[in-house]
Amino acid sequence: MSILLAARWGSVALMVIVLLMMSYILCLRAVLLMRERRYRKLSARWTPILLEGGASNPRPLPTVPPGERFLLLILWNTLRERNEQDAVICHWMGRVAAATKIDCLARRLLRRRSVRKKLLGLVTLGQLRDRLEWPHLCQIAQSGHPLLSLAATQAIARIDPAAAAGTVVSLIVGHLNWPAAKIASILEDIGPERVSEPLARALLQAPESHRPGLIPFLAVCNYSTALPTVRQILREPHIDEVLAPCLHVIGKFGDRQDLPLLYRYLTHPRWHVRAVAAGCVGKMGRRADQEKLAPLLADPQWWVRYRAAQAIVGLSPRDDQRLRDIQSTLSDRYARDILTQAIAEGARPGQSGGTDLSPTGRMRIGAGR
Amino acid sequence: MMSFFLAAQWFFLLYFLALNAVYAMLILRALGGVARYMQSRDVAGLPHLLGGFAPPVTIVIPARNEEANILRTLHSLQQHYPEYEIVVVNDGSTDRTLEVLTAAYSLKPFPEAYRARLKTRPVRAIYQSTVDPRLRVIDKEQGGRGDAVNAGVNIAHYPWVCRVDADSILQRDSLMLIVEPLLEDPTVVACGGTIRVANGCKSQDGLFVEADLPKRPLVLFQVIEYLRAFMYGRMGWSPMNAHLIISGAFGIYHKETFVAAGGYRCDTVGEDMELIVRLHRTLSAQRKSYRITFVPEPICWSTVPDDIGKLRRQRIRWQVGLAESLAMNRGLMFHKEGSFAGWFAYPFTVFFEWLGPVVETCGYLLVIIGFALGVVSLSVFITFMLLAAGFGILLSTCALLLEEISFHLYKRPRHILVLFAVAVLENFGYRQLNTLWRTAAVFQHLHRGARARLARRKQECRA
Repeated sequence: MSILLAARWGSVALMVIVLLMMSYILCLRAVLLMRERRYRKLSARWTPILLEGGASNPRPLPTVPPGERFLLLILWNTLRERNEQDAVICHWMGRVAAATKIDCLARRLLRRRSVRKKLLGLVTLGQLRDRLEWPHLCQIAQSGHPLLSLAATQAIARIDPAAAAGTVVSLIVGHLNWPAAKIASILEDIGPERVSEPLARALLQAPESHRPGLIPFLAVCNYSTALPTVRQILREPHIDEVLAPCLHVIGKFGDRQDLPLLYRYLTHPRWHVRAVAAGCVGKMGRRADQEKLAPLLADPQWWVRYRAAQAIVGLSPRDDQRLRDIQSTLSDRYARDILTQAIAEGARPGQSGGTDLSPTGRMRIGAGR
Repeated sequence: MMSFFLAAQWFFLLYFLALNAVYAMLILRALGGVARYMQSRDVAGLPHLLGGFAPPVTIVIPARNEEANILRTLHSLQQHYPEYEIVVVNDGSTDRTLEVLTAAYSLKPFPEAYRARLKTRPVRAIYQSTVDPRLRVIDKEQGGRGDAVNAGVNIAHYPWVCRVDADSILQRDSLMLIVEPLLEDPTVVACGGTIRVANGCKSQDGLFVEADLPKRPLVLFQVIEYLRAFMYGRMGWSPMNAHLIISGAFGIYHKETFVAAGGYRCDTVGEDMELIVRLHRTLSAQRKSYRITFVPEPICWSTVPDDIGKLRRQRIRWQVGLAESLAMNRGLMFHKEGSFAGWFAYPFTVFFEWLGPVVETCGYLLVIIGFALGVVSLSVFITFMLLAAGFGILLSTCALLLEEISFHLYKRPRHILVLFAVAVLENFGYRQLNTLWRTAAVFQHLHRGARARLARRKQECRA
């Protein structure tokens, strides 16, 4: 009987909870609609003002009620992001931000508990190049919160790239769990001339186990720093895991001086290394290198065969007769098939054939944005 | 008789409490997950940090008798994405799928050095488009969707393989959104997209334009079901790295992990779920650090059955697929390295997803029989029905709440009211019908298993 009573009250309680939740959902929707309506109105009023950066006589700015300042901040960020490349508009938007005090609001948001608001504050201060909160930003960047620390690092990099280079590199070394794509994007924001030295130094001082994670970022550095660093790593005793990332960097810069080094790795026991080395030789080598690549056409690993075939086809100058001659000398069926495929792919414009093999397949740093 | 009913009453009560405790836990995890996702979307949405760093992807489309859909699907794959190739696998179509493709994309035979890393039914020919070299078509003998995807993976150039079903509708940025988790976390080996019901939605040239609700009640019920399944089903298990399915409609896999696991099995009707359960089983046994995740944002729209016969067949197929996936990977259950997937998600799926319909049907039958025999009073009967319906409505309302605080895709206030009504009404008939179908599927699977065992034993005796 007591179970029945409990069940009866339980079902009544359930109905009440359901009704409350449905009312809450309706309230949320009503708030959302009101917010959207306010945002649309604000957007219609402010978008032309924010985008008239080039106008000779900008009109006077309307006053912003405190309740609308947060929405203006969101609109400002959206338009700023969309017009990133237009220096005139960006400059004008900075002035509008100061006049409407959304920079003060962004600073205040850093002290809010909501992660979402903190993030918005960090992004805005980065866009505004606002130095006033620099120590606070550095503090957030060192915090354990993955999103906030990353957004703060990005803000620091934007505010003062020159001053940030060393700090950002040390933050990266300490946060190797950050997404590599985002790290690369921050380093590109700072620029190769500023980031090269500290990154190379940090890399050479880093423990052996950290190096495979850091080496790919050399691709965003200067040629004159990245290559000597990679060569030094390869000269010194090293673990095998650094080889493929080092060869990728060498391939990216394509200095023919490194060809003898690459030849050595064409016979490396690790197939990843052989595949990357073949790809690099194909990119940097000359016609004479086809003899070094030809044995790889019969490699037990399909990818090595494929890279070697692509490399042979890609060696300049392209000569179809030369390729047919090589084909006729091949006794291995797999070697012949793979070369036939690479020739067919090479003959069609726009065919990429997946030439960027990264050992993990995760990302290719230095591919540009 | 009385004591039997009392014992049964306790059994159903405890089962009911355990089931709803897990659902409550999933809803709480999903709430946290949605909040975190929306926060990260704020930043990711402003500065587009990932553009240019997205990994190259091979999109594989298994197609059998898709002459009506295939061009629309290919059009929807004109994605805002830096580098990708498309492999359509014509899985022994008996209609004009290959001819339609050949005419539209000027396909020519291509001398591909086909590497059969995954065994498939024989490949007849491989073609490449002369108008878009990113498109290749494999023509092969029929072997099922799993077999077709395996063949596509065999010729994939890129390290990530994205499976898209030929009847899926995507957005322009679907591919970009599904690769984000791979860029955020290098241990991700597979990622699924959130699927929503396409019936009633507006689309143009194969691309999704605007969400709307379908007119037919049968389809509306499925809208709520999909919301429940994705808003807290997947979202709840995902933070624990324990969700056991990536829908075949849209999902991305690390190719080497896919191949190392043996690709899709072709002897099950639930090859998509079986692969994910197998990945959990093998990768955790190998003590590998891995994540199988999913994107909460609705990025793929799939057409659902709009007549009862098709729906019945689909639900039976799903339940049989679930049973087969679990049976083929029973080693995951309580495996010492099985983590959350082995210790929570797998047992939950066995006891509540696989056996749940049987228990529910028994519950209904018992109450009805008890009521007919006069052992169960009218008030108990009504309370039982109210409680069962009340929990069903609560779970659907939670899914609606999660949707409202995150993506609020159904824009008009009318949509919300219709969905409320559907959340209530589906508990009076539709849910019970589904339970019956699923119960039938459980017995069908058990019967089929017994027949297969018997046949094996006979064969052994003969040998």
